[in-house]
Amino acid sequence: MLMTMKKTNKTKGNSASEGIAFIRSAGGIDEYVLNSNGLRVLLKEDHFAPVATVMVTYHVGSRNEALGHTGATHLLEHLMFKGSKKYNKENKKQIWNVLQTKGARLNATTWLDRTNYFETVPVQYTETAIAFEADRMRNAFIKEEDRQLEMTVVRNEFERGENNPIEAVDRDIWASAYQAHPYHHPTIGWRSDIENVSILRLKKFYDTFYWPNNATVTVIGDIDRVKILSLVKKYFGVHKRAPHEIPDVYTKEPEQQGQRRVKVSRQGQTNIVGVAHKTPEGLHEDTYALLVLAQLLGGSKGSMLYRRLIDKGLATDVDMSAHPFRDPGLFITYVFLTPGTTHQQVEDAVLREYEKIKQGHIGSSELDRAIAQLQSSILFARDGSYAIAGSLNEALAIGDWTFFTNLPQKIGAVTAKQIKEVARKYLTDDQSTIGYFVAKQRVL
Amino acid sequence: MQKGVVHISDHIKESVPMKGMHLFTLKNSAKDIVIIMGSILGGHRYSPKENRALAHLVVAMLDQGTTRKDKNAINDELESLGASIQFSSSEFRVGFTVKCRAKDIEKVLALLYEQLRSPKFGAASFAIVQKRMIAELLLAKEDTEKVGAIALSQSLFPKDHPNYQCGITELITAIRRTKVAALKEFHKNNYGLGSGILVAVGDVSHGHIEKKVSDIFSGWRKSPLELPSGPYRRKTFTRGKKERVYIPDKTSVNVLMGQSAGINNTHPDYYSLLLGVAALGGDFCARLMMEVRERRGLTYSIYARLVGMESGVDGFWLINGSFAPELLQKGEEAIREELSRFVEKGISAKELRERKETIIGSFEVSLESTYELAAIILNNREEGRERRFLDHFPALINGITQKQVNRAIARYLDTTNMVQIAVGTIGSKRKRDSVSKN
Repeated sequence: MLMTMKKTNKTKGNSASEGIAFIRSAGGIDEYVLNSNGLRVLLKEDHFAPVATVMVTYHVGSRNEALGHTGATHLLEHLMFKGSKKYNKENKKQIWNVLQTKGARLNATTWLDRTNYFETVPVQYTETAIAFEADRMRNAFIKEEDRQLEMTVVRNEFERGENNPIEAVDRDIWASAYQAHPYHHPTIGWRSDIENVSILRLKKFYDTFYWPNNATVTVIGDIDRVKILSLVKKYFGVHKRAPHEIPDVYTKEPEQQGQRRVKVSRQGQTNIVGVAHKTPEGLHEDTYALLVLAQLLGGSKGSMLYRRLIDKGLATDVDMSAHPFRDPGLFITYVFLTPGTTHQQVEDAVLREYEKIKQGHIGSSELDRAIAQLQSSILFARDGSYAIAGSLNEALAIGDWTFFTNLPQKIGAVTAKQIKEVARKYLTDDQSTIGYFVAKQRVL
Repeated sequence: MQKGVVHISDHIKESVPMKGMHLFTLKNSAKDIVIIMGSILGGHRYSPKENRALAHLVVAMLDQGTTRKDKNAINDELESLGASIQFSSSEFRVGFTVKCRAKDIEKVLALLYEQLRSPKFGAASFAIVQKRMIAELLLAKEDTEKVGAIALSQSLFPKDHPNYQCGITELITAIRRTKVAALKEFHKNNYGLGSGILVAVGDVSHGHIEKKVSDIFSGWRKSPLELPSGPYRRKTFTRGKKERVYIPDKTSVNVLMGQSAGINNTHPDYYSLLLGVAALGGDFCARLMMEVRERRGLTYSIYARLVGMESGVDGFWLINGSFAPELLQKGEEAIREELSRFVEKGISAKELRERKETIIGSFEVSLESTYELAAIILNNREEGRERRFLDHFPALINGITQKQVNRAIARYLDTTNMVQIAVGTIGSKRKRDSVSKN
């Protein structure tokens, strides 16, 4: 329920300016909404260093794309730096010149469920960062001449990723695991789409998704909450809410009916095995047990797969990926093989460790250690304004920022029984996709 | 800290809990967490000439168990506290980074000490570490950037120079030949107090940590190692050359250009050159990014920076960019044209003003993170500077003139004598295909 500020200003620390409603607080973070256009605002004060982070999360990612314009979200993210009405080359106020020359760290990232733009600035430039983000929210140029130049830049980003064996096998695992749902394609897009998507399509994408009621502004650091709210209202308040409903993704991935296997084969030295299984949407209650399971299996030097594979000389590294997404995602174990180790050996070893969990072989001390490690990593994820804003951004992407603030407590409540149950429920053969990266020959 | 005025040293507490160990602490707004970073001498430089991998192998064995506890017992203990200890090695130093909850500092420091002081060097563990490190090096053979960095360093420096990077094959051979006895001997002869630095930032009390460090580390012997004073300076500049290195099945080519500068970070020209190279390729609004990416759309990433000028060692300047194979020639030309323009006309007054603001502002921004604060304080001490240097740094940068920067650009960026390496699926399949020399 939304409440106007007048009704809530008795709540300590939540005072705001007129036209902004306080929604809720959790973990020291306060949420507000700009009444006129539906823009959400997250604030947290931290006065140790004279620094602040401004981050805008748009609730659009590569899941909102379709064939022919895969990679559009990311290409658009690049074009968002090419100038807007008040910040552009012509008036010599490009954002790089305005903020990076003051020591700011600014950039943007695109992923499956969200796109975020951010500036970590010496605190006196917080207003400039807010003004800039507000301007490009609705006034970005998105021009054809910029698309032409930026296309080759993005294509080189694609090519750099393709150089990396793990990215190549990860791309093929997702493409095989998802056939209908847009998680099928990589966030950077397919090469031919990057090369050929039209400026009209990109502009339409911008006009569909870049609206205040499809975004959240997060400001953290050495700030005054009331002042920041008035600045947010001043700069973002000039925009109207979208004149249309923000379209949602209705495509559901059909149930997988059997194991899928993919192989990428190139010349080189690398051999990699990826074992992936479908998981529920990020806000599902099983997510917490799956996160602890990932930690148990491969989150540290004492984890099951580390002891089974690295300590036995079968692998150089184990990398777990159990990131929660807005829609059902993947629980993936990647293993980098040592010379002489076969893919089958490692695949079997990984599945044997999964089986142990399914049989309930989880010691209470192992579980306590995994939980302690995860809770500690969450604490370290609050180190600095950018780190907090970045963590909130990922929680916003899956649909609820309090996922981040509630995580320590939820993780702490996970039991061995729940882990056994989620392993049995999700780590099944029929729901798996196995990927091999195979080095064709050795080049010495 | 006061807005706009960063006197970080006022917040840093410093003491010497025992001879040979310098302690710095800084309490910030972090709740319940502490980052501890530190180092002792014992890095690559102290490896014998016949085994350049030895110091690195010793570091890789530090987390493989001690004479009192096996590695699993140590891992279990750390993980039950939600803590971690990571070791690393650089040219001169063995580094460690500890993350833990404030309440567990004593336990984690005791584990750190035990791992540094009494590693087991078990034969079975070492065999696995050898295998793993060789596999990692084989992976590095596929990395266009790493292969390029090694090739460049070998073109810029003689083999006995700290900035010369051993070839991957040479390192693999050295790792294969190493015996456990050599590890034990290196550790016994070199590890200890003397040059120790320990920095703790976060939810910390200086008095508490000082006492714990004193209690825990006081039994350690003094290391005979000292930071060498050189001589590493090269009197002559690099001879120009152009080289292509072939790696199959790569969609992107890395281009590295560079030149040995003959100076380190204590040289009077250092900060002038730093500002000049930052204007050339320090970030997105620097010249290379603006010209090669923004105006010509040829690359995703291109930068320039000074490398390897710490600890009294003379380093080099580096340009590193990536290109599609079909855009390689255009990319190389674009870099050379922009570099020539920069050298010919120098830095403008506006560019210099902006660079100064960028460097000083970046320093300010880095103070917000516990991790970065610890790294800044540690680096400052490793470079032998007083903590007040951190407060004087902005004034030092602001004091550099346009004339000084342009003199440094003219003196050190010699476009006719730089080394240029391209690595990727290009040219001949021969491993090292030197296509031309200027």
